[in-house]
Amino acid sequence: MSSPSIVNSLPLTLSSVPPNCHFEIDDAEDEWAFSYKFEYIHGRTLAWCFKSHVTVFQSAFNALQPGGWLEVQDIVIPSRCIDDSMPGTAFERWIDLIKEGCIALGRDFGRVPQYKQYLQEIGFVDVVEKQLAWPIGTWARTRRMKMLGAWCKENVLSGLQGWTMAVLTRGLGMTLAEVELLLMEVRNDINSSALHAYVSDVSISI
Amino acid sequence: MQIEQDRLDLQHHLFLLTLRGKLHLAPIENMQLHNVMDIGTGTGIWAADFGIIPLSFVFFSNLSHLASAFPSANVLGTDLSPIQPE
Repeated sequence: MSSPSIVNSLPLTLSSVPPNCHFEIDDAEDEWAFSYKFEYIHGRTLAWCFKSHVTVFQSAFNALQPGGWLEVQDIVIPSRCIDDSMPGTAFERWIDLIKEGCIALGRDFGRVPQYKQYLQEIGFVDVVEKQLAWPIGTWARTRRMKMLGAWCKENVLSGLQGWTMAVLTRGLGMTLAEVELLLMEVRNDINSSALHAYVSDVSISI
Repeated sequence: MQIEQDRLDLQHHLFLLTLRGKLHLAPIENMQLHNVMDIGTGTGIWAADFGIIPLSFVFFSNLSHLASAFPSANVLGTDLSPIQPE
């Protein structure tokens, strides 16, 4: 956080940024050096971002005004299934390989369920954890869950290659072709209504 | 890279749909927010929406709970990657 700078020259994804919003390039794991405090700090899908989540949450704690709030919305990895439709699928094999690859790379993506405990140990009070879920695909019964599932499926299908390639090639020594073949089968599973997988989301407010 | 940025924006919309148009669950509605931070802001879409929700979003979405904009707060988005707009 020592030398923040406002950036950017890359293609824009936002059509407009309001004047009260600005951006800095910072590593949240470095020491925070803001000259002012915050009333509200938000972080979303940070599960795979940090070597130490505790360090970042501690910095947030120190940077909050008394009575301020930290909110973390994150995704529990790996995805799970509501029934026995996962065994034997490429989707299951993919989850196992991602786990193995992460272990080989020394990365821990599975800390989200521990967030609440981390935060309480740091000294946050009134910690509220809310658990939500997205079906992957439109297999769920209600109209709302079908809608969320359609969006979630699109999210998973477009993120799949990016999440997988480095972990399986660098972590497990698989070839690009092997990973592509696996992902083709995983996409088939995700597109199939036979697989009843879901993503758990946890939202924590402090 | 652009594919991943598009996905992050799609994921933002998925969160909005999940939270019924809200950007947060913490009880901050009645607080005087001066400074807000978004850690790992990515494309910056959450931070920009939190500052003020763009008109296009209001017109083209069916979300009826558009209560999340805080135009009076200064919103700072931080990230390792410079993929936010100016």
